[in-house]
Amino acid sequence: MGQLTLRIPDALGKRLKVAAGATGKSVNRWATDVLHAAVDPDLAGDEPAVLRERLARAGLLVAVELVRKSRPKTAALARARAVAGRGRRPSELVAEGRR
Amino acid sequence: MKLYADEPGHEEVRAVETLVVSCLARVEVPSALWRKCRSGELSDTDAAVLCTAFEIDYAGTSDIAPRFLVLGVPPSLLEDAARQVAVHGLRAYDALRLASARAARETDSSCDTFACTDVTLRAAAAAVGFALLPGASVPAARPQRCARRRRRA
Repeated sequence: MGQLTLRIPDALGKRLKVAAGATGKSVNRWATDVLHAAVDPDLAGDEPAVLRERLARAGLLVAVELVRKSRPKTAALARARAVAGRGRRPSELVAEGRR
Repeated sequence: MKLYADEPGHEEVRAVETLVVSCLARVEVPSALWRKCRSGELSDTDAAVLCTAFEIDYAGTSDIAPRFLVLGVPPSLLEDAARQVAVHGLRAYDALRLASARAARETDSSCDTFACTDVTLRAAAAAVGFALLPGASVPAARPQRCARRRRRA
């Protein structure tokens, strides 16, 4: 089994650890899976990961910077959603913005 | 928008596991929420809560994976959008959404469902073979943000 040494920014290293931790895998195992996916999307893992790899390989995905915010509390989100659903529909406002 | 407002059919949309969205949504969703706020129908606090929820869904955080797969607008997609404008009589941004969905489906055939309530855009999406979300039981309003879902096999 070979070894691969990479020079990556510290911030990226931290993000990789978080991403690997979220899947319950070691960074080594997770990175290996990702590299497999780079040459065969069907080996990427779960369905969203497979789709992500396919879209990325097709050049369709955009890189998005992580946000530094906390998820709103469930009750606050539920309340806001309920209020937003009253009166003029936000989806109608989106449609108007396209005209 | 149905992720952030309790509109008719929101349960269907929120049940979808993976949503593919155009990067145009990054501007359109906050724009609609703050517009509703300016009209007095939504408080500053509620608008901020919904915008934060959207931003986290869109980009993720160091602890939370993004909910969306975000598509850009490469030249090939613009070319297809231009064709869709001619074929279906769509507005420019709607054509971009349909072209985004077509590109996703060409890449992965399971991207076979198009989420939208705009009558014209729904008709165009159905004409090119997409299943529609919300289903026909939900009254069609004048448009809605579009997204695609990946259906489980």
